[in-house]
Amino acid sequence: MPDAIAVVGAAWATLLLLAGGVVLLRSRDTLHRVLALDVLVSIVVMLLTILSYRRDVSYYIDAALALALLSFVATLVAARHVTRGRPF
Amino acid sequence: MLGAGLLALGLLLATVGLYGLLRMSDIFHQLHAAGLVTGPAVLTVLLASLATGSTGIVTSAALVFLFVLITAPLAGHAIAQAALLRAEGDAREQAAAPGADRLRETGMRTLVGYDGSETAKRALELAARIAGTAGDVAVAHVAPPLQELDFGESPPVEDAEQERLLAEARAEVARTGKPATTLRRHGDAVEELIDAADELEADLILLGARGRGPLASALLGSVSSGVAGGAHAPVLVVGPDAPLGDGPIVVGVDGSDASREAARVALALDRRLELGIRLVHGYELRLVSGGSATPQMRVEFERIDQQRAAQLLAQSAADLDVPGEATVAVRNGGEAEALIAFARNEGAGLIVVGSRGRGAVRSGLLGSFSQSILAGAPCPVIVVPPGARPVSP
Repeated sequence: MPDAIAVVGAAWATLLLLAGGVVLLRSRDTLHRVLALDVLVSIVVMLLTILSYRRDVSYYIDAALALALLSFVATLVAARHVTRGRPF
Repeated sequence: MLGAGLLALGLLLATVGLYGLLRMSDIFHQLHAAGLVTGPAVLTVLLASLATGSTGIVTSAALVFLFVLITAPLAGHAIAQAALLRAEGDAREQAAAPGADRLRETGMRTLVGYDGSETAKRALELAARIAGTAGDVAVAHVAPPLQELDFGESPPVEDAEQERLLAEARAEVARTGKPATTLRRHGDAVEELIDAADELEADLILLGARGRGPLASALLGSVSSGVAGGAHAPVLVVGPDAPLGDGPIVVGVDGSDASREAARVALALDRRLELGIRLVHGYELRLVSGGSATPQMRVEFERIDQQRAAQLLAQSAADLDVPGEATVAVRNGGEAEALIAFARNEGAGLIVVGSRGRGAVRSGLLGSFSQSILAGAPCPVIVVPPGARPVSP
């Protein structure tokens, strides 16, 4: 992949990260925040993937996998916590 | 090339999704936009790995791809379900809330911005009707700013055109048997009118819209929407193709403070005009992304929406001491469209809405509810600003 495209992509993803931060700051309650964090993790996953394309190494994507895993579990637990008052 | 294209597409999807998240505030709407970022956007960016040609990267990316494919809809579903359960709880709580206070009988102090146009004449007529015997009508004309002349002590210039228009307005109001006070102003129409209303402590500002159309008003600015956006008193705008009907007063109700204030103003007006009142709640169909909603959930959403609308209306009716039969829930496109369509079908005499007071920048970016009502209404519209002066006796 051409280096320039990867750099532009990474820069763009960083801007999206900022926009995601705005969504997080504007969220009014827990569920909005959970949703915003879920979206933020997705953007970080994209950013790490693009970074691994640029550096041509795979371990950034492995880190992204770990992050996605954590975020998935956290989202499920937080969503349950909102309605039941306890995680499980 | 393929890699670059997929990368761009993925980032574009994410951008669209984030725009949606920023633009929408309801959690169910936001879920739809978030689904775009957490699902398709990430997957597309991961697909771009095929273009790198490195086995290690493609393998890792394939793993993440599979993982996201499975977990993104599940996470969305979990949030949707939590929001649903919470909405049900809220609806139960709302049904049990107290309320009730009443308005006094009033004679209104009205201010009309007059520019000689046909719609402004109708605004005069309506002002006289609304003011009633106890209220007054003031007419303001705003001329372009006086030029600063360097002649030392020059006497104040009489503006012939302004005098002619104000005399015309006085005569027009006199036909209804009421005297009118007149105000001569120079400067920016929007600022001067808002200022004059503050000075008079007007209960209602009436304006005729010039009907420039959406493009021209966006470029040139519209006096009526400017005043409606900035005034501290309710603003009534008579549109170019909005005759004075004898139908009911339609109030847009959405449970906000602004809409409650709007309903109070509408009730005070109804005491004078006796047109009858309708509390209308327009609501939108929720969009839930396909991945995270089962058919049962959709049915459930619809039921909850209906229930919530009915409860909101019952609550408003009780608060305002209006019979329950005067309330209607409509669903027809967006909130503004639903309200306009209802007013058109009922032959409404007046629409009253609360302005959410988003400020110039945000309403420019996000569109304003009251502005879309002003643009599309088949009858005169009253926009009630947040924290409007209470209608005084």
